[in-house]
Amino acid sequence: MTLSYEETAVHQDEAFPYIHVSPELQHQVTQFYYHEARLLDEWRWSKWLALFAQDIRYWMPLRRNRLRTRSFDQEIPTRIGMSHMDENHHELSMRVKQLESSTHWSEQPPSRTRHVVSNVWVEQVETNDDGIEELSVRTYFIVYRNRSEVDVDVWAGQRQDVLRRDPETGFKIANRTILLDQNVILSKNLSIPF
Amino acid sequence: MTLTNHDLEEMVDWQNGSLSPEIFTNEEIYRRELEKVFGRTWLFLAHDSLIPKPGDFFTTYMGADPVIVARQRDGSVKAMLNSCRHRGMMVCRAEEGNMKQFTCPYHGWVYNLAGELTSAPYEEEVYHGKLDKSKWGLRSIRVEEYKGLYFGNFDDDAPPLVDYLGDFTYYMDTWLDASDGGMEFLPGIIKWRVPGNWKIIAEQSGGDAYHAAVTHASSLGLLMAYDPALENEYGHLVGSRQGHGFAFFSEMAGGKAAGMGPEVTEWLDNRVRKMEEKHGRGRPIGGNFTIFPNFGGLPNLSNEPTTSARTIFRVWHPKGPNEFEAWEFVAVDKSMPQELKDELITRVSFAEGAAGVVEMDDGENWAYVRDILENGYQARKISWNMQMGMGTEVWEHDEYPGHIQNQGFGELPARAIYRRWLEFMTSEEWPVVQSDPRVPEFVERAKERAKASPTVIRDRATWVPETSADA
Repeated sequence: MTLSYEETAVHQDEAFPYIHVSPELQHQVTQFYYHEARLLDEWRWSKWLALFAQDIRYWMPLRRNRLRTRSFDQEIPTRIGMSHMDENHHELSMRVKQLESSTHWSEQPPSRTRHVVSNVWVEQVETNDDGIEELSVRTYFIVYRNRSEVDVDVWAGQRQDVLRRDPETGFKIANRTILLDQNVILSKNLSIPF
Repeated sequence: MTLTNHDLEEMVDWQNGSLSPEIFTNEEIYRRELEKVFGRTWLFLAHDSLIPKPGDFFTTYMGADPVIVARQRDGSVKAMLNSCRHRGMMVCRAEEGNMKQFTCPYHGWVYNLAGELTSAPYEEEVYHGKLDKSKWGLRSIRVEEYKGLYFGNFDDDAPPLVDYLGDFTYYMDTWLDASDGGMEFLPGIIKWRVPGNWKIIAEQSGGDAYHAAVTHASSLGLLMAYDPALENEYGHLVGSRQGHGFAFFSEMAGGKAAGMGPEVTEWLDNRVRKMEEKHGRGRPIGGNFTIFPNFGGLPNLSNEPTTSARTIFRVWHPKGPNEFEAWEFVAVDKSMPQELKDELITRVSFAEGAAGVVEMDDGENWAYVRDILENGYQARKISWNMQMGMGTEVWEHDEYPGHIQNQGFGELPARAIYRRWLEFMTSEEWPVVQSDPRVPEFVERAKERAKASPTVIRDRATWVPETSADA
């Protein structure tokens, strides 16, 4: 059973808006993310791509070191600006094609990764214009990468997703914003998906 | 062990095309580079459009030293070492913003936009009027500008920027002046740390097309149109005697931009037309370049018309012998329709940058080369081959300045870069280029061109200082 937006009790704290969702919805969402993480860590990128809606915007903006008193709001860009990734479905599918090729040297042999997903917050439940339920979900992540022998990277960050109900996969990811907690990327590349 | 000039000359045998990997990992060589190369060359600081208003600042590095670049009230640009004269703390740690003054977070010494010391806490009580503030400003840095690009130099005896660029301005003009009104840099810089020596990207950026088909096999050719045979057949290489390198093509794409209106198509076609009117048909336009030692990029180079109308600029800051930090900027013509700017900004990171499908595979090579050199002994003692194309250079080309190779794959630019590197590393005096009789003529021609086609960046006579709201 799924709670509609009307059925959810909204707690509107001034500084921290959140909603109560049913344990079942929380469970469904959490399981969906565990499933996604496993697909990534098992290099099943095509299956992973199938979790995305056709109208996906997959966006990893830059983080910027700004002075707090002046333009702290610009730390995360709200308007269009340079980014690490700003992909539509076609571009995302090309990334998967690259990952699956035999000559993508940054992932050949592929990196061993662990996508650890936590702090799963369902922040909003709405019905879109097509009558389909959409959830705004925030998650935190730690991703560990080891490749070849001693090559190690650890990335932390937050994802802000819109999940759309889907009869086949449970949800489709209709929007994803990834905030990596690094201003200077402390690795030679970002060759793995988040 | 103290390295002599003779040792360095043996390591970099550009005449016979061999190179010792020792230069990429040796700590002593790195320290000498900071003094002799980064301490004397013109280093890219910022573009005019990054600091449009008085009080706007931008922080960067020159070599491994932090630097503030700030727009003054009169519209001019000053640069200063970002290190307090009291105990060395950085006085500014934001990437950019707008300020009236910089206050050191350690003891509170305050500097104005020009880097002059204006006050220190409890100044009267503790210094008793004996602190001569006029002598303790931030270390100021010489700044010069070429068509909107600001460069800094720690060495007051270095020749002017336009001499340093030499005839390379012939090539630069086509990127900086493609259409009326000059360029602007789009907001945001992609920054990432690469385990590797800064020279490895300098030589690749300066003209290594040879690696593309192999390193980028999973992007070029698979995700994007690419034909290495055409690159070698129609490509040219330039090795400038001043140490700059360029691999270029002379055709510029105009035409349709998928999914965008006729205004965009017309603008793209116009750009090609204007460019050819201004600089002549057959002028080298797109490719990849290095301006010695650590500024480079990909002007007008892309697999399709829309994205070919942008220039990627890169700067690589050394962070020790075994690491550098790459910065990537995207520049477009100011006159570009907003629709196309928005489109470009979302597309450009797809190919280049830390997560770019093309560029990410470079990081793999650079990092593993570093590992081998850092840990190995025998690997540091072998010599590397850089002989590609030796003996086929054209030393005087009718049209193109610099030494030219009429093929896209070759190591002429690499030999030019390392030759110049060696000259900087082994000379006490600023190493004036003397061995090529045509160099003075190049420099004269560059100056004439700059005079004939000046780009007015800002009209300083009509500059109206703005008061910053958030000072």
